[in-house]
Amino acid sequence: MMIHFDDVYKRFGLKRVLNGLTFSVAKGEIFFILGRSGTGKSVSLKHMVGLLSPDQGKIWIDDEEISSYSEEDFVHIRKKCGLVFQLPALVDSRSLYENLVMGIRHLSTDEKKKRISTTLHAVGLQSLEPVLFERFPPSLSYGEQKRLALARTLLPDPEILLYDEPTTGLDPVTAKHIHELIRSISKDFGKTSIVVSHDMRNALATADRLAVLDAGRVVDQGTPEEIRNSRVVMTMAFLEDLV
Amino acid sequence: MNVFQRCADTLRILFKSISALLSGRTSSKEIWKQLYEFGNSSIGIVVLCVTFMGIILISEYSYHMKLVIGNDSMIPGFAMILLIRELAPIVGALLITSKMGASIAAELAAMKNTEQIDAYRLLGLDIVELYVAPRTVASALSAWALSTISLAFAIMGAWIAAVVFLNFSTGPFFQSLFVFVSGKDLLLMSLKAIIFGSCIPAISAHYGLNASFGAEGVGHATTDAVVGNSITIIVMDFVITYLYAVATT
Amino acid sequence: MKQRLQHLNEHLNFFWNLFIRLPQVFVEREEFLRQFADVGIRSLSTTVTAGIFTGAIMALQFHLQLKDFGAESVLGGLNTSGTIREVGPILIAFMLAGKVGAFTSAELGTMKVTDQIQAVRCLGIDPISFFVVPRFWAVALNSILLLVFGLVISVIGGLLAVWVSAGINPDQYLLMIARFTSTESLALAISKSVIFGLLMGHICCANGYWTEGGTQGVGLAVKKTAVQSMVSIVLADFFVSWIVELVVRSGDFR
Repeated sequence: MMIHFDDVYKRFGLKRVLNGLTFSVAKGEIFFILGRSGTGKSVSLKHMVGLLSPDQGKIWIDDEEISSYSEEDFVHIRKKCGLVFQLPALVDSRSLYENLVMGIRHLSTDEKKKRISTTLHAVGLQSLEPVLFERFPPSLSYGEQKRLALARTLLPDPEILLYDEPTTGLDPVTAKHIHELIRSISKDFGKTSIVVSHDMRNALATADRLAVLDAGRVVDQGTPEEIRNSRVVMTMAFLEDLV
Repeated sequence: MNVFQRCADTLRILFKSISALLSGRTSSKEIWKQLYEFGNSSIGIVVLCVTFMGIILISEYSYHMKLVIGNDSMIPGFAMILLIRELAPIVGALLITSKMGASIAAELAAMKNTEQIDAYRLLGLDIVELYVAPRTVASALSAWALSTISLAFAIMGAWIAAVVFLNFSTGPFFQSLFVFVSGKDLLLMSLKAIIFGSCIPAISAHYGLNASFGAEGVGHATTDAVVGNSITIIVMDFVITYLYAVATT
Repeated sequence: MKQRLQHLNEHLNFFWNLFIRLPQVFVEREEFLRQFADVGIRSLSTTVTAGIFTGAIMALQFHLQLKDFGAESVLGGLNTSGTIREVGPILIAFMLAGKVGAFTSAELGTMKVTDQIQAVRCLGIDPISFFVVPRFWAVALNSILLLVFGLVISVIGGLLAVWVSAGINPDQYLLMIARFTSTESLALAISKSVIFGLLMGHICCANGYWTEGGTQGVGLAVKKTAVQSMVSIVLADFFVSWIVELVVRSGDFR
């Protein structure tokens, strides 16, 4: 098991967001977490990189139990575990280049150049390579910004990739491309991927395994095949749209 | 948008509000509600700031008078005049700007972003009449009330400071005050307060209604509203003071 | 009450963090210089406007008062001394709090709610060193310089105002400035500029960095910055004046 959530609880004020969340993800797997808005999907990802810490329960990443880690302890976890935010979260006041190298500042200039080239190709933004120093995030389209944010997260070469609603707000064609990208990055580079989404169609096409969340806990889990035939109410609600 | 366009739009909003108020198209319930909001939210900070300024002024004047003529029996009058004519209305207006002006800009910017303003328009309701007009009255009256109330506290504060720290006795203190302060000064203060107060909602509304999209747009609108109001207040204060000075010379 | 003390503690911690990280400014040199230039250019016109009008208003009022008293001749000295000691720093700082302070907290606030701050944390960069420290020092240093500059401008504004409106002799005015402005007054003006600058820098950065609640949060942060700046400036003015007064009095022979 690469990642394991064991009975995690989290509250924000009076609101219970995670209610005994338990699931596991194997190394190299593409794991989708689906659920309605506000059911704790993004919150669970944030726990993994230490932006939040659980009220109760344990979280393992690669044999390390991180539920009571400090900000310093998380430094090496964050090198292992990259989070792609829902909003591109690019720093608007810095150039594209400065944004990309944020996680790899310690590398030599040549190494940076090499990695940037490969990564931009991987996400389909090679056309931006010549203008990285001159252009700034606001000049890119939303889709380009999301890809660049993905590139930025990929550059430090983390073993685990976390995607927070990667295709929310994108048209269906771009959404499909992004999902294909997630799959190819995971398989070609041997990464473990956890994707939070409410796009059931693409989830079924891309995932190795899925989990469905409701009210802060897992109500259904399985392979795409198992989910398609599931009799769980929430899962069926998600499947209704797909004919 | 250049300065002239901004002024034009702001004046348009102001005139629309005034005409709405005069023709009775504004809900008086809303006016009372806003009056409460404006007054309630700012009274603490305005009283605090103006009182402290009163104390500061009296110490300053004492220092300077002793420096120039070696005698400070007249400072209560002089110090309080500056407070009444200038500082009370300005500080009060600036604090109202920060609190309520910023809120107005932020709220209207948010409403613009979520298309509420257009929604109202389709229902035949104009946002200026609905939102800005009641606040214009509330702001003008609150500015006046707050200046007056904080002035009272400031005089008390200055009196305590004078008696405790500057070797004044109560009698001469208030005597000096009554000799130098006239009704004209209080009138000037009230006029300034009302004028500043009535401009704040219109200026803030201008920035809010012209906000650009998203968090950045709201941020800019709010910031520009505070800045725009501050500059307008100080420039208007200068104009009024200049006219007053020329008129009384 | 306990909550307020806790909050104050957070503020003190935050300020301390920013203060001791001054060396970071040299690490993030480019960013700091960019911010510094940005803030400076943006605020120049506001400072000049605030300075001229403040000086003018004070001069006109002092003139009216001194005239009743027949002491017009000392106008230059008294007005300048009074303005740079008290009213000048406060009013100019108020203007700057809006232009620079509100702007910076809006900027940081927007970054916070669009997850830029969190994203940078996840990439192993300390967001405070990266975003906030350069801005804090850019705002603080700029404010200090601009306040002093504004006070100088206010002297000119005062001179112009009474020259034009009442024909006061400029030479006489300037002469009186030299005679009545003590070193103590200058020290007071400068120390206030420093304190106000640091205060404004801290307040706008803290409120911006701690923004919460999406788009609305940004508007709220700006509001808080504007209000807190103004109130702190008045209170700080009081305490600085008081302390300087005590220090001077201890060696005083009045």
